[in-house]
Amino acid sequence: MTTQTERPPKFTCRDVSVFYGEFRALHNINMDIADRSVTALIGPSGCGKSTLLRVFNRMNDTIPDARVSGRVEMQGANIYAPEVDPVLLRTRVGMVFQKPTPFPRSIFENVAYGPRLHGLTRGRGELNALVEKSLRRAGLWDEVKDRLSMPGPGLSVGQQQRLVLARALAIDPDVILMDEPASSLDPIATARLEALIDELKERYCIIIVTHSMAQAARISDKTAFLHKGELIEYGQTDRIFTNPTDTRTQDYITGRFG
Amino acid sequence: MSGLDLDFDLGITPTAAVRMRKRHAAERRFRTYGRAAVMFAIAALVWLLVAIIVTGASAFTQHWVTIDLTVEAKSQSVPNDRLRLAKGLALAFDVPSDDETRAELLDIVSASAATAQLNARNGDDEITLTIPASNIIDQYLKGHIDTDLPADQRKISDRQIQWVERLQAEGRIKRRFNSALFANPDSRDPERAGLASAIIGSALIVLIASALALPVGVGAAIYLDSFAPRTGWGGRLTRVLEVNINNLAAVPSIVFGLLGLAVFINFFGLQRSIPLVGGLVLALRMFPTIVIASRSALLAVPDSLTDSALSLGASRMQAVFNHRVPLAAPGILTGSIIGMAQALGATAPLLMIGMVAFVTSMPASPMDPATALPVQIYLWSGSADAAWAERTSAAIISLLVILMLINGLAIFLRERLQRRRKL
Repeated sequence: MTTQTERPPKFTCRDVSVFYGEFRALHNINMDIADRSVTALIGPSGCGKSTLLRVFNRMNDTIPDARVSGRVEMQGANIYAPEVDPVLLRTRVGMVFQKPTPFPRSIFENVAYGPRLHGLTRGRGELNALVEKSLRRAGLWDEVKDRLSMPGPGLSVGQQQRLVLARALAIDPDVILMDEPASSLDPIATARLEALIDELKERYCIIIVTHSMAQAARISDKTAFLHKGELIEYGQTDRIFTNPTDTRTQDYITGRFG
Repeated sequence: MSGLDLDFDLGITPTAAVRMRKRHAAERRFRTYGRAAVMFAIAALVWLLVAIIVTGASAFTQHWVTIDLTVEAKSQSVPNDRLRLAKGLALAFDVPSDDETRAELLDIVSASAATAQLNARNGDDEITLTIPASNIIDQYLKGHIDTDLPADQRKISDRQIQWVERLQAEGRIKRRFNSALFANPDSRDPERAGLASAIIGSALIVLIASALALPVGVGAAIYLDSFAPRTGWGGRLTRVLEVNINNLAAVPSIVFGLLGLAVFINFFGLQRSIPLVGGLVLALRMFPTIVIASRSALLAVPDSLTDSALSLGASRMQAVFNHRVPLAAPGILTGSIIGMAQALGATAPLLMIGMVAFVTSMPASPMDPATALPVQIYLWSGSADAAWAERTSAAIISLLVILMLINGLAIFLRERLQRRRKL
């Protein structure tokens, strides 16, 4: 825990609000997110946790009518400044979606897409090495090393989710956003993914949205509870789950609503 | 049900049993309706095909006559090839060469084909001609003329029948594939009339229309799908545009013909009856079809793929063209082919821009007068002769075969694209 307090925060949110047209999805969020740790966003459906996650890689920009106000800094730089290109931001902030979305291409091509897009490798050899490294980091290499030319969507759902993780890791981001990554996985695949997240936090800042409070308790260092677009409580995970200060947090984690 | 009391086991009450019976009956009824509808559709199709093939099949063959003639050279008393031919025929059949007989003789072979050969060989006096039989003889030999009628009510005279029987006995009449039907342009003589000019005209029209409508239509669909503004005034404009493209697809095709007449011919001063104008008009006709088909193909691609590409730092353009468009390609292709097939079958707009002209030459470029297959069918169907009726059906068969080939190509390409997507 000491390392986290020494490092400057990866993200700083000041009065962040998100609007979809007239609807205000987030109300003045203020939070710091630590590097090389797992931060979990929990809350009932529609509380704005996915919206908050998409603030960090500006994926809300792709939704027509969405508008973000306030200040979001990544290592001190405002990522919503006019001169920031969201396309470049997204090479630093990778994302894994709720449903695994492998491209309808081979396993190799799925992982190689990002590096090819950004010209990260020279020659086939370097690309092969990067694909292998990424698949190893995502814990998928041993299962697919003999069938890299097989179509990505032909893998099991759990393998697909690790494939898209490898795809995100291949462009070497600093941050990985995960939007309920385990919601379509079976318990065994979920356990594998959680073990993986535990390894990856040595290197990356991980922000994860989850519906499962048990999962948040298992894998995260800090937990934020959102309700109706407001950040109700944010703190060390063990404290949130053992000794919540707000009654709404208490009601939610004890299963009284949500 | 042996021994098993279902009513008891499942706790089904009498009213529930009645309801179940009704539900099953409704399902059975619907299946019957469905089968009836399919049978009706198949019957209509079979009826259409049989009717066309029965009338049209005989047009794919043509009787040819081989005759040895002794002809005079052109002179003051025999001034033209028609007379040389008629006299030669009279001699060959051993009949007097009076006016009435000569007229009947000239009616048994394709006189225009024969005189062309005679003209080319003016010096010779012993000539063997191999020429198409006249349409009257051809129809008689194909059994399309009722010989039980009195002689003055049928087109073929008793003497002509005798001559033909004599030629047949000598083995001088052969039934051959009617290559003229595909090699020749239109003609006043059915035995020389062909579809070549119409096929070339149609090909040029469809090529020009596709070359214009495909890139514009697919481009417009991609723009509307992924790049057009969705909110505010821009979004309103986008929605108005989309509704109006749908409206455009519902506009009767003759209106496009009128538009083409007013714009391309009257305003820009292009010639009537040329494939260029036909292609321009049909491009307008194809455009909405392609936009609508491509739009729905693009809509069917899940947004999650584009989002994934965006989250990997792809630009909108890269995300759309690397992932969205390739997945929609089979649907876009199918829509485009449907548009091409529509253009190939369009008749009304071509009538409006004067492509209904009688064209006896082959178009060498899109600027030469030509006709199109459906218009040719329309023209031929106006003639009452049996020879024209069978050629009309043959032209319809040709058009249908071309359409089937195009559709087959579309299916082949779509399967290949889909297989490549799956890898």
